[in-house]
Amino acid sequence: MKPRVSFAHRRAGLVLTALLVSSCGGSAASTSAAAQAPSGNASGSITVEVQPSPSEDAMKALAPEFTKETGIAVKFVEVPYNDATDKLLLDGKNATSAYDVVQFDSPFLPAIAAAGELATLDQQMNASAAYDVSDFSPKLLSYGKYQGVTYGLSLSTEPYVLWYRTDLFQKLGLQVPTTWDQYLANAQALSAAGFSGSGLVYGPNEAAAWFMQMLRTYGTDVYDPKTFQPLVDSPAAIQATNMMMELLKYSPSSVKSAGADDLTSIFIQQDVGQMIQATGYYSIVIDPKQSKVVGKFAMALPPNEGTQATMLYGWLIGMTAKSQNPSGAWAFLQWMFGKANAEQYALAGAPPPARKSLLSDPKVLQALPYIPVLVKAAEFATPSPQVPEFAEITALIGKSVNAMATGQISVADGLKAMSDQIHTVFANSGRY
Amino acid sequence: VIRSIPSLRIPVDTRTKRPSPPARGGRRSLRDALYGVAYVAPAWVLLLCVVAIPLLAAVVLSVTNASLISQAPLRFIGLQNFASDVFTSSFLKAVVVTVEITGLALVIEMPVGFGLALLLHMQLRGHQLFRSALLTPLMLTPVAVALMWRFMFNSDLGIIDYLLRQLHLPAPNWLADPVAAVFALVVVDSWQNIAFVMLMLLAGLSSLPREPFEAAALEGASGWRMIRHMTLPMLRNVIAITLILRSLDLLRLFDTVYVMTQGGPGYATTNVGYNAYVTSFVFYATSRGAAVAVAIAVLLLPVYYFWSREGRRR
Repeated sequence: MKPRVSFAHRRAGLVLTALLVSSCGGSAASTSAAAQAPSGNASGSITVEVQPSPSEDAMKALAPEFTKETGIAVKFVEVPYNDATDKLLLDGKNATSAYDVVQFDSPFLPAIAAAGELATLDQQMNASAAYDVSDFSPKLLSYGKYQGVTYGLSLSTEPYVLWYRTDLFQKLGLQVPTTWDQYLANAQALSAAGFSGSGLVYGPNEAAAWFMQMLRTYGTDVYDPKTFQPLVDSPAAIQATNMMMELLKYSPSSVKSAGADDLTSIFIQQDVGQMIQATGYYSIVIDPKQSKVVGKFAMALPPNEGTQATMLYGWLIGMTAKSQNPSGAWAFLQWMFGKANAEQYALAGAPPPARKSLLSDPKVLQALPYIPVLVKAAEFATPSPQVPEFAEITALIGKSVNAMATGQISVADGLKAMSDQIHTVFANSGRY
Repeated sequence: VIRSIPSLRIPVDTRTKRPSPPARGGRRSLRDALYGVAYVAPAWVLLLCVVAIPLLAAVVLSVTNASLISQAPLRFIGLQNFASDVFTSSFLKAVVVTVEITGLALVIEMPVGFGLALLLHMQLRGHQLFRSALLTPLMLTPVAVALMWRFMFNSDLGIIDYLLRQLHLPAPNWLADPVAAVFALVVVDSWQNIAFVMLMLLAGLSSLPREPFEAAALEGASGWRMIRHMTLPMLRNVIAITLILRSLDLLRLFDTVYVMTQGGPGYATTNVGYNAYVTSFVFYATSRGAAVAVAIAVLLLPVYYFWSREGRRR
């Protein structure tokens, strides 16, 4: 007998259908509504996107005081580092932004600015006595710029510098190196004494930054900024890469797969005599819970081969172009990162922006003794190339350097392949 | 024999007529058809929302110039993205790496999982504790597992190389050697997923009839012969489904690669999943990422075909 379907069952089927149809359509409608909803209302609240970092902790610690002074409520939204750029890029595609203020890592500036997520800051910044742009070196101001326009304020200045173990240097009678040959000689001496001689990053994800550090201190770069022609197989680049690979012989073996965080872990847990690393890791290296080198290290300007240069990294912070409360957002930036608050911000545990005035602040100098090196390095430090294609180029360089470091390809062949790949990226984006 | 035993005969009422099919046309059949559509519709709407629309969107996106870091208007660019990101030696290399990892992992996971399932099926003393212990890796997230193993594979501070050195054995730089890195990924994936294979096959073993095995035992068949000629053929469908499910997972492997090797050393562990991620979320080239995703979907079609064939066979 043919099974009969009760009326109640039939009705249930129809209701389920209707519900599903409405949920599919409804999700789109609600997304659209969410996009249009103001994130921070104009009457005095702002939403700040932050990423886990000491900078975030410092901002959160000082925000109540800002609210007390200005009446503007601050809501922090923490986004994991690996998701942050994607979220900001997608946010830029919406009609209004979910955030008013956004924290981002400096290498992502070109991508986020090109996506239209960020508001220009030149006008407010230059007009603000509280922010005081004259307290920064002109080079430092350039790293918040994309195509000559400022989109980010320096949230932390973290140039690459030389970190060295004072105890091991003293024990072996070594001098602080100023050239790569001296650095190599130190590495050999340290290695002969049973220590690791050098710490650079060769892992596939982040080797590009250390490769660029080497190139720039040898007076060359990844590409010519005017013609976009690759320079990675130039004689200077070959010399720099050979030095980088030579230093590998005196390094801990895990640097071949390491990133920046791994290198810091190696430095604080093993006996690595010297390394090139961003200053922003200072708070980790002086943490006795994690580090066995507390009080046994110092920082100096990085070695070079005739060209005083270093990579400039660090967090930036900016306003979204589609902020619902731009005046509140600027008030926050001006207050939090203004000259008057610089001491308080640095003492709250954040790696500070390299303000010159910090050099004459005894409290900051006592808490962060590397500030003189930081400010000096910031005078000649330059960021990674600020073109949107550089995210892809960085990935390609990282893979190639890692392939060279792990013996899969020779330096000459690796650099030639890298040059071809960079050329292809620029050709595909219409640079030629 | 059954027919000759009266009590086992199945009574058949020859007077009962089979119900005739509903007459075509008319108000009732239309109403039934509408109800039929209503019942099937939720599944179709769900499929449409979850599978068809995203897939279609990916196909459409793959022939445009869409990028997260560009404000240029969207335009049709034909197969340009496929030319730049799919029909290339690097994509082919990623396919080869994917097949390598998948093949090696299956070679480890299937026999070991089957062996463990057999052991558990024997219900030896302490088998419940043993089963719980084996299932633990399956309950962990792949990222946590990959992080844990990444530390263990560290050539300076990791416990694996430490133990190897203590035993005076060669301690490879696991994550910096092209061959060792692939092997490390296979070990990690196997460690986590052997329990899944074991569970599937154990369920299959539990559903097998006991009588043929008892008869074979009486005939003097050895354990190995019973496994070879009875258990494995009878488990054929379950093994096929398990193999397909694991293959699909391995062909799309991403999180373990992302955490442990980042596709390195060089491109040695860059599989298609990691390749798609890098294109979409490191280069921010959404349309190129979509082209890679479409290519992966096409490459996976044979596996889905076998899946559906096995499903029908069951």
